Amino acid sequence: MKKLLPLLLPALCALWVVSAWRTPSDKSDTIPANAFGRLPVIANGRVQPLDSLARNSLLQIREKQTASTGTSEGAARTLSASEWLLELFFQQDKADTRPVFRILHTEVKGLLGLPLDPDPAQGMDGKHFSWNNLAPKLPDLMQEARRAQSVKSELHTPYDRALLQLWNGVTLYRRLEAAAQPRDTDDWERELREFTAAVPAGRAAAKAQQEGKTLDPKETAALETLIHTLQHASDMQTLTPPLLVPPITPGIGPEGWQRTDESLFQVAKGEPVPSALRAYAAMGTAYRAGNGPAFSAAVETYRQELGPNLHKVLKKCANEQLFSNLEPFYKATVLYVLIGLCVMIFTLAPERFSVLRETAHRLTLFTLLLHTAGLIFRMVLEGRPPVTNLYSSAVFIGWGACGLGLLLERFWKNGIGLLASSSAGFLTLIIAHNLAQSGDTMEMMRAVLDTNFWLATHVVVVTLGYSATFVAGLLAVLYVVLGFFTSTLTKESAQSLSKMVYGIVCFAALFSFIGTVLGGIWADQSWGRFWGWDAKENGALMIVLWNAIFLHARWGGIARERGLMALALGGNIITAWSWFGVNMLGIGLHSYGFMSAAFSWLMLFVVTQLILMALALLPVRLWRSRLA
Amino acid sequence: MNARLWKFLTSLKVTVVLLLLSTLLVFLGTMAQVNEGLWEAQERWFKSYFVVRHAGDAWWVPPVFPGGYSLGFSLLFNLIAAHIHRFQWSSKKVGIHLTHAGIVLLLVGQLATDMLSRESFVSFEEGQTRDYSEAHRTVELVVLGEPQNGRERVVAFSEAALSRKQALLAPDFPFEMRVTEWGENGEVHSHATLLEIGTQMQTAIATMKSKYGTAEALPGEAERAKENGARSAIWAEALKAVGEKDPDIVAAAKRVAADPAREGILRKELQTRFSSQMLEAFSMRQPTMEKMQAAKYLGSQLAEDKFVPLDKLPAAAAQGAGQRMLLVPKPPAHGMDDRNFPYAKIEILEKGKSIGVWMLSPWIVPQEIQVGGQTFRIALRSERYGQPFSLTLLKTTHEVYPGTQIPKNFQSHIMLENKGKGEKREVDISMNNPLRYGGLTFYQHQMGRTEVSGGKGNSQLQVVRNPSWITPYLGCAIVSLGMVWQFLYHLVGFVTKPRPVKAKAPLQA
Repeated sequence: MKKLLPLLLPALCALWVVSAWRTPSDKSDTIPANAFGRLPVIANGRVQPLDSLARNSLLQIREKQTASTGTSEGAARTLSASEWLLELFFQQDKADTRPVFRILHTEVKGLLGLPLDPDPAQGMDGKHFSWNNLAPKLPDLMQEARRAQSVKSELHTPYDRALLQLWNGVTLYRRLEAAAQPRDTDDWERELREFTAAVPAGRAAAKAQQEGKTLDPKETAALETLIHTLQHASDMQTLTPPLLVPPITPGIGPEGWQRTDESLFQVAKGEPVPSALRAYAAMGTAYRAGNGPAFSAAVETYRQELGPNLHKVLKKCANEQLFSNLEPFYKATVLYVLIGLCVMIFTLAPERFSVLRETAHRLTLFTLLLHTAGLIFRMVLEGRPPVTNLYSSAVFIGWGACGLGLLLERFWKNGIGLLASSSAGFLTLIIAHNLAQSGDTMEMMRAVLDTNFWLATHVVVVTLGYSATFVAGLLAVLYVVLGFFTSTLTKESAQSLSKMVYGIVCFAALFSFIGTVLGGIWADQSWGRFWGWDAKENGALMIVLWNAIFLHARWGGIARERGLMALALGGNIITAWSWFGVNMLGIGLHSYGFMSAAFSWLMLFVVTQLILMALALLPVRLWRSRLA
Repeated sequence: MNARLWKFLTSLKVTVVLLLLSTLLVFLGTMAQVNEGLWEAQERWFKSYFVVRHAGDAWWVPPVFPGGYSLGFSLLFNLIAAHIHRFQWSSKKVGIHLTHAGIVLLLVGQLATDMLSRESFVSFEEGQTRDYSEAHRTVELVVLGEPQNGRERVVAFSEAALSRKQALLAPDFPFEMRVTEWGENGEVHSHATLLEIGTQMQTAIATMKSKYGTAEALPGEAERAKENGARSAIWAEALKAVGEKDPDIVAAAKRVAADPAREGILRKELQTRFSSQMLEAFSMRQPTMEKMQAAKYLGSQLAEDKFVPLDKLPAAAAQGAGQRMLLVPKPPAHGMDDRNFPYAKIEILEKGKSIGVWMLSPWIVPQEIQVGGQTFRIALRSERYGQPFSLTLLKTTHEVYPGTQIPKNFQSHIMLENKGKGEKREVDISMNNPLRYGGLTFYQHQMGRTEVSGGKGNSQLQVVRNPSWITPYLGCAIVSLGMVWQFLYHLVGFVTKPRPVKAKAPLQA
C-alpha cells in the first residue's frame, strides 16, 4: 500500500480528468442536443457555440449551468444547457413551464405575487419560477426595473439589485426566445417556405400598390404573406436576439453575421435565403415531432453548407464545447481539496504518513499540469494572453501561487509548500467560480484594453506579483494558526517558514514593481501619462510599497520573525484591496462595476487578517507552540 | 550636523515609517476619489505638502496628513542621505544601489512631470482643421480685432488675470477693460427660452393641479389612472400616504373622497407627486441642450417652490447678449464628469470713460463691440495653445463588436500639415496608437457623431506635452536591472547552498 498509493491516486485522478477529453456525443434516436450545441452563434460580440450561450445564459438566470424540467410532468429531471436552449428556441410553450428564474429576494417575490415558501401543490420550490409564473406581473416588474435603472448604481438597495438581476434575466430569456423563430407561430418551416415563395410576387404587388394600382386577390395574398412574416420579424427585432445567421458570401468576418429578423428583411428585399434560416426551421419541425434522425440530418446539412466558409468557426465552437465539458478548473478545485487533505493528515504525524506527502506532491504536479492545460486551452480559444478580466485573473493567481508553492516544496520538502499550493489553488478557483456567475467569461476586450502585447506583459507580471504576495500571506497565516492555536510549530519549522516568506516577498517585490512599471508605460503609450493616480494603479503601488516596507523592516532589524509575519498578513489585505476593493469604488479607468456581494466577503477577509495580525503580535508566552 | 540626528535621519526606521505613511496616503487618496473626483483628489492628496481636514469631509479623513510632496521629498532625502552615510562598493550591493538610483530618478521624474507637463485636447468634426489645442479646465478672455494688413489681431488674457480682477490692457486696441465680476461656475439661460419653456410648464402644472381641485373629481381621475401603470403607481403611493393600502385604487379613492379629513391631504399628495414627475419628464423631452438646461433649471426652482418671474427676468449685463440672459451662479463642480463654466462681467473703458458692462461665458458666442469706429469681438473660451502645424480630421471610424455596444476600435484619419517644414501627410490615430509630433503626443480620446450637422463624425484627441517623459522609462529600467541583479544574486546563493532535508520521502531515488 505504501508503495502503491503515490502511484495509484494520481493515476486515478488522471483517468478521471482524461476520460472527459472527448467530443460529447448524443444517443442515436434522441434529439442530438450536443450536436446542436456545437452550432455557431454570435452573442456578446463573439462567435461561440450555442452550448456556451446556453450555459452563460443559465448562469445569469438560474445561477447554474443546467436547468430543470420542474415537477409539472412528474419527477424533476435535469436538462443540460443545450437541451434547455433547444426547447426555448423551438417549443416555447413548454420552455415557459420550466422553473429557470431563480428568485430569492422576498420583496421581489412579493412584487410578482409569488409564494415565499415551497408550494408542492403547485410544483414550486420557492426559489425557482417559470416564465408562466412571472408573466401575469410582468408590467409591474418592468415598471419597477425602470425605476431602479434610473437610480445611480451606488445607491441601489439589495432589493433594487435583485430586481435588476431578474429583469436582466427576463430580457435575456426573451432575446433567446426570439433567436430562431417568432414566438407565436404554429409551423415556422411552412411559414418560412410560403414567405420565401411569396417574395417576388409580394414585392411586385407592393410596388404596384405604391403606384396606385388595384391588386387582384392573388397579389393581395402574396403581399399579405410577406407582411405577416415581416410583422413577426419586426416583433423579434425589438428584442435584439443573438446573431444566428452567418454570412453567405465567403471571406466576410464577424461583422457579416445577422439576426434571424434582419435576415428575413434581407430576404424580403430579394436577397438569397441563407441556409441558416432553412436549417433552423427544419430543426424546429423535427424537434417538435421528436424526430431525432430528421433533426440530426438538418444539423448535418447545415454544417455541410457552412463548412467551406466557416471551417475555422465550426472547429472553434467544437473546441469550446469540449472545453466546457472538460471543466478543467472545476476538476482542479476538487483535486486541490484532495491534496489539502493528504497534506493535513501528513502534518499530523509526518513520520507515519510520509507516503501521503509524496502522494500529495505528485497530485499537485498533476493538478498544476491540469490547471496549466486549462489556461492554455482558454488562451487558444480566446486568442489572448491568460488574463483578460477579473475571472481569468483569479484563475491565473491560483496558477502562479500553486507553482510557487511547488517551488518551495522542492527546497523544504516538509509539506508546507504543498499546503500553500492547494489552499491558494482552491481559494482562487472558488473565487473564479463565483466571478463566472455574471455570464460570459470570454467577453470581448474594449478598445482601450485591446492590445495583446500589454495584456501579455503588464497584466501577467502584475498578476504574478499578486500571486506571490498572497503566497507569502498564506504562509504567514499557517505560521500564526499553527503557532498560536497548536503546539506543532517547532523552532526550526518557524525559521524555515520565515525564510520562505522572505524569499517569496523578494519575488513579489520584483514582480509587482516591474508589473506596475509596465502598466505605467502602457498608460504613457495609450493616454500620455505614466502615472495618473488611477485607483487600480494606486492599488498596485500600495503592493510595491508594502513589499518594500517588509524588506526594509527585515534588513534594518526593525521587525523580527513574528513582526514580519504580521507584515506579510498585511500584504494579504493590501493585495485583496488592490485586486477587488478598487473595483468596488466604481471609479477610474479600471472599474468593472460595483460588486456589492463581493464587498462583504472582502470585509470578512480583511477582518480575519487583522485578527491574525493581532495574534501574531501577542507575546510569545501566550502562544501554544514554544518558540522562545 | 549633530551625529546622532544625522544617524537618525538616515536610518532604515525613518524609511519604514515614510513608506508606511506613503502607503496610507495612497490608500486615503484613492478613497478620496469617490467624493472628490480623480482630478481634485490628486491635487489635494498627492500634489500637495499637507492635507488638512475641512468641513464636509468623510469621517476617515485625518485632521492633518503629510501630502505627496512632503513624503516624496522626505523619501528622496532619506534615500540620498543614507547612501552618502553608508555607501559601500561591493558586488553584493550593486543591485541595491542600482535600485535606489532608479527610484531617485523616478521620484525626480514624477516631480518634473507634475511641473512641466501639460494636457489639453483637440476637438473637431470631419473636415475641420485645427492648429491649436484647448485646455480642459482653464478659460481665456479673447479680443479679436478686424484684420489689419491681412493679419487677424488677437489678444488673450489668462484665467488667472481675470480672477485677480486686474485691469486688462491691450496695447493695440483703443480701449481698456476691467473685470467687475468673476465666477468660477455659472449657467446662463436666454430669457426667450425661459419664457417659452416656463410658460408651457406653468400651464401644464396648473392644468394638472386643477384636475385634483375637488374631492368629487378624485374617483373619476383614479378610474382614468387605472389604465396606465406609471400613473396608477403614483396613485397607489399617494393613497398609502393617507393610510389606504387597498390595491383597488378606485375604491380607495372613493373612500378618501368621502372623508373630508383626508381628501385634502390626498389631493396635495397627488399634486406634488404628479408635478415632480411632470417636471422630470419635461426636461427629458426637450429637443436641444439649451432647452433641456432651461427646463432643468426651472424645474429645480419650482420643486423648491421658488417663483421665477418669467416676464421680468433680470439681465445679466447692461450691454450685449447679457441683456437677454439670466445668469445663475453655481458652486464649483467636483467629480470626473462635471465641468466648471466660469463667467465674467467686463467693463469696457474708452479713454478712461466707461461705455458699458458685458457678460461673458463659454456658453455665449463671441459678442461684437463698437469702439472708436472699429468693431471688435470678445469672448470667454477654453484656453488655447497654438501649434506650428495643423491637423485636419478626414474621417472617423467607430467600430463595435457585432450585436453589442462594446467599442472595438476608435480611429481618426488625419491630415497633418506643417507649412514651415513643407510637410503634408496622412496619419491614423487610434486607441493605443498615438501620434507623436513636434514635442506633443496626440491620443485618441472620445468619438461621436453629431446628429445636427448631417451625421458628421467628430473626434476628440488628448494632447500631452511632457518634456520629461523619458525619466520614468530610464528609472524603471535601472530599478528593474537592480532588482533582477539582487534577486538572482540571492537565488543563486540559495539554490547552490546545501540544506538539511526535513521529511525523506520513501520513494525518492
